[in-house]
Amino acid sequence: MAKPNRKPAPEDAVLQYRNVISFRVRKALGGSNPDWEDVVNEILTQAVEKIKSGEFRGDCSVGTFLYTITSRRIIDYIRQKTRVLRHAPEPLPFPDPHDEVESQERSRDIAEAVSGLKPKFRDVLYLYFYKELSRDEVARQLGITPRRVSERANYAIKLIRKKVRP
Amino acid sequence: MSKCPYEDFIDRYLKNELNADEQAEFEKHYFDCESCFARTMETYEVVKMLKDGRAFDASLGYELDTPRPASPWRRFLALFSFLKRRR
Repeated sequence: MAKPNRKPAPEDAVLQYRNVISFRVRKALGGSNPDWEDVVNEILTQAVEKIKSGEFRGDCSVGTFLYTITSRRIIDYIRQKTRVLRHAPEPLPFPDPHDEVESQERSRDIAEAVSGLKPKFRDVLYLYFYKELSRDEVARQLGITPRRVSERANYAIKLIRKKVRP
Repeated sequence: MSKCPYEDFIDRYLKNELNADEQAEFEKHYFDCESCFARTMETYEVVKMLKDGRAFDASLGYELDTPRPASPWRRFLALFSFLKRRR
């Protein structure tokens, strides 16, 4: 017998986006800003309320609906802080090096995977992500196009991910 | 499977190198595209680990940043608290 096609409860539909919302909020507020979790919870609560009250009528995808709520809440947060501090909060580094303590083992695995890469890929990772040069600066130093910098960086990361499974 | 055109935004997004319009466009996109969000997270995880410098061994010819030496005032405070502890 075919299962009835039930619509997920608003809470469940919204909770599926918790990781996406958290990532977006942390990127905007900075990884070590302690307020990020509260902001995410407020967004989730607001979204569930809007779905329950019928304010969300399905004119756009749930993703777009949540993106809009998230962006508005982030702007409000920054405005609020700006009023209190008289200037916008300092943008914090992202990824934040003190963000989460990763296992030593995992760090070693990644180091090993990087050492196995061809120098042309390793050099891009070093200049682009470790030395934090801009894409244009890396391109100039290596004598390649900025687009090629992105291609090499993305390909290198793909290779690392293949060797170091989570 | 064909590659999503937004995948090319990932590295610049994490480096804050997209302009405001591109950034908003990409963020709106990854709220709906599971694959791009997963790739962004994967890249983020690796980049975070690359920042500790462990991957760029001196034997491979890379120069690592050395922590900045403490200012004279900080050194004085450290010495002061050390002497205070010994009393």
